[in-house]
Amino acid sequence: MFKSIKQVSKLWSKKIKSLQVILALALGLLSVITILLFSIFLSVIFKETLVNHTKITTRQSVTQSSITLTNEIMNMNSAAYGILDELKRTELQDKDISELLGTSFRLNRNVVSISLLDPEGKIVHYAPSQYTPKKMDTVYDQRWFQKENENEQIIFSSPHVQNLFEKNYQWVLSVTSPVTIQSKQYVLLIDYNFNSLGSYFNKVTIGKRGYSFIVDEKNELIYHPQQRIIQSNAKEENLDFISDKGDGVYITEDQKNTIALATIPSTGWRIVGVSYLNDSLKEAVSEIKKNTLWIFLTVFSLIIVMSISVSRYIARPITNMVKVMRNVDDNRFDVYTHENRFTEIQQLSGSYNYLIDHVKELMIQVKEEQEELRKSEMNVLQAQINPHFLYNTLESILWMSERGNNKGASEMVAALGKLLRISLNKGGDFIPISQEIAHAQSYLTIQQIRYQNQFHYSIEADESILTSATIKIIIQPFLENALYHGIERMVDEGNIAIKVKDKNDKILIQIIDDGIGLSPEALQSIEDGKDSQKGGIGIRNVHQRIQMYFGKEYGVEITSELDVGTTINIWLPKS
Amino acid sequence: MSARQLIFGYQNLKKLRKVAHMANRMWKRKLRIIGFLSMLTLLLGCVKQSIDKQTIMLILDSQETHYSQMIDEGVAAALSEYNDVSILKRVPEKASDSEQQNRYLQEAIDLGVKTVIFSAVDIKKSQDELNLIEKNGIKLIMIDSFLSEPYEYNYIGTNNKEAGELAGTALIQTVGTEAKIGVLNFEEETISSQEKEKEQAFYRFIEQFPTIEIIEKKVSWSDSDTVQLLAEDMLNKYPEMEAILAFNERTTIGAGRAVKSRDSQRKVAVIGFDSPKECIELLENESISALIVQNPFAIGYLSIQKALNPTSNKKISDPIFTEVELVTKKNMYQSNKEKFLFPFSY
Repeated sequence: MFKSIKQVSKLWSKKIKSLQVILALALGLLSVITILLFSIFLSVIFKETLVNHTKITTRQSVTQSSITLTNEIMNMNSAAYGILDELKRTELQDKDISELLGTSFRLNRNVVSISLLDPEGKIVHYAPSQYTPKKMDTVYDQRWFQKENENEQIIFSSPHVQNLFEKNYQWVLSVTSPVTIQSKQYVLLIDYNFNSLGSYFNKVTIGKRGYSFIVDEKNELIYHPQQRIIQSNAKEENLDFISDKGDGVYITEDQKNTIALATIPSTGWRIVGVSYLNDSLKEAVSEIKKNTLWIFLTVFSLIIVMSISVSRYIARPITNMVKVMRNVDDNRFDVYTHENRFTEIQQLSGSYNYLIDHVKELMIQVKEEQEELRKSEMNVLQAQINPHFLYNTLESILWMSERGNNKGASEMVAALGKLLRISLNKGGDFIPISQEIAHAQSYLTIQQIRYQNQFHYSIEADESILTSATIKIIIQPFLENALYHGIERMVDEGNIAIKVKDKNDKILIQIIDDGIGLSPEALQSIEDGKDSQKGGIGIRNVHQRIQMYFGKEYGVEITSELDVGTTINIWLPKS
Repeated sequence: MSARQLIFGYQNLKKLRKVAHMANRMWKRKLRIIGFLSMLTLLLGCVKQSIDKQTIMLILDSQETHYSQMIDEGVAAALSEYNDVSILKRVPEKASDSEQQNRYLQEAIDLGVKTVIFSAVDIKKSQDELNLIEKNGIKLIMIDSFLSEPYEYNYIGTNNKEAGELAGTALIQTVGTEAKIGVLNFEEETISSQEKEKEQAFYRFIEQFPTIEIIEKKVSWSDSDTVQLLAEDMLNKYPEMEAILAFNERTTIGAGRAVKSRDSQRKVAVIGFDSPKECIELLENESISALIVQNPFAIGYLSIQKALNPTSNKKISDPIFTEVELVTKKNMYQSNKEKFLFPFSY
């Protein structure tokens, strides 16, 4: 288990080192970081804009609300003034007053009731007429009633439950104004339906959950869209924050809400707009999320695909070159690269190709030089005529001519001449087989005279191959060996046979002697030395020369048996 | 096997290897595509899950009372603040029908709702179903139910003990410490209803005044007319009766009507609960002496808020007790009582 993990990690680290993977990772990382930074930057700007936007919308909404509420209050005022003007007319009778109140009630939509209170605070006239006033001592004692009204102004009460009439418990806003009728101080009381006043505010939304509400000069709630929730104490509005603030836009200390304030001129009421910064943020974020999830996905997969393909595009020529260069390991110098995607790689591959060409050339050159060297070495060897042989031959000739054996001497001189002529062969390496045979015969002729017929020889050759070419002097070394090592030591007369045979596509030259032969050990050491620098010069020279000129399938074989004789097989190609 | 065959075999092997290599590459590519697709579906799955709607089941005890209407309005007010909630309201047609309520609880389990807001008629009778609800991981919020310590459920509602004691206080304030009184309450079948709990608390409270004598206890069907007859009977039977205690909306109205319809020579104080319009009228013409006003609107509102905005991670949080106010004719138009007594919609 642990081992396999280690292996995997090893594989990974190997993979990570690959150019393509590093490139892909770097590109991917780079683009991801860029996008991340960019989006952070954007989001900061976005948030700032959003906060400003929220501030502006909150203020706008509050301003709008204040205009609407001002209008509403102006309407109330003008309705009250209308009634007051009518009431001030001196000729009004009680019946007329009731009628006036009734008409005014019908004309004003949001009015719950209109009453006229006498100086004692009793209801003297009221509309609608179907109401039954409750029995009470004086309305002036009511909690909500503001008695002090010096300037004969129109005064708005705080919201309260109307309790002037039986079975009527509506929440109302009371508008009161003193009025003098026939030199008596009355009070006009108009009760407005509180719900209808606020209905506009119920519809005000700032952002998703933002709202606005009204407070009076003492910062007590006049109207709140969630009036009931607040009334039932299930929720509280934090009014401390606005208590010391003037008109304007504020952000609460916890950075959660935006609050805008606007004052309604005639009443001293203030409109407070509240919007949730977090809400608008969240909303925007969710909106963005909805839209950008796909974009993000696409961009991400694009990044992956792009970084992989770009890295592959960049790394491909290099990996290809590496593949090509690997061939050198297998001694193959004939594979070139043709990468031309990038200038650098192109130059590199050009240089590589040049290099490889150069190396190849050099190698051929070295090989040729080496061959040349060896050839010359061989030539030197083959050109050598054993000085002992020459001296002995010349001495034999001298000796024969002193003894008057002119025939023998001339025969020997002729044979020596022939031998030398073929040996030199005008510097050429190749001679026909017939010449080679003639060379061997000349040599044997000389040696027969010298050894005074201590051995006999025979030459057989197939007619068909006499013109076939061979390298020169391949038989003579073996004849020399046979004489010096095989026959010289014999007591009896020895025999040497040369057979040249046509073996289909090859030529076999056999040199067979019946000399003392070779021990298996000696044979083995000769066989071993055949291909190396060691061993007998004669056999090695011939064997290597044949292989050099004609190939590995040709060469020299030796079979020998002690006291039986030695057979040399020389294999040559037929030309 | 000859050399030729051998060579052929080797070549075949090479070919086979090549094919296998290609197949391997194809397989790898396939794997990559599959991986990418599965990632995509995972992401999409995440998106889809987040738009799941919350479902809340609201089980009330009876429909026609002013009290339950107020709960309803509180719920509606709370819901208007959230737009991804759907609510299933279940109310038994017959008043105080525990079995029907239990069937609703079962339905909640079957539907797999997230939260159940439950006003139990009789918590003991619904015990098995409530256990099942908890077992199914459904959030349970009890409102206006019998509640014994230690609190086993999330609770929002009136503190029944305090309300019962407040009724006792009202009695002492109205008739003094020496009186003969009658008690009207809900039908007998329920042992562990909120009304019973209030009644018990009341009894415990007046135990400290031995001179207060309970001369009659009556239980009634939840129908104001029946209660009125019962109360009239009671008043006729016991001319010395000075006060009647009524522990819910209908018995209060019944008792109030009975007192009103009688010749008002003899003063009988009615101490009752809740504030439908008729109760207020009866209070204003002094047929009812005192009303213990509860806050059903807040109960409804807070229960939804609690369901959607858990403030603590505790499975069972401390009970939330809504306010109870003692209202008499004298203080009914005081601004703090006014707010309680008169719903904004009047």
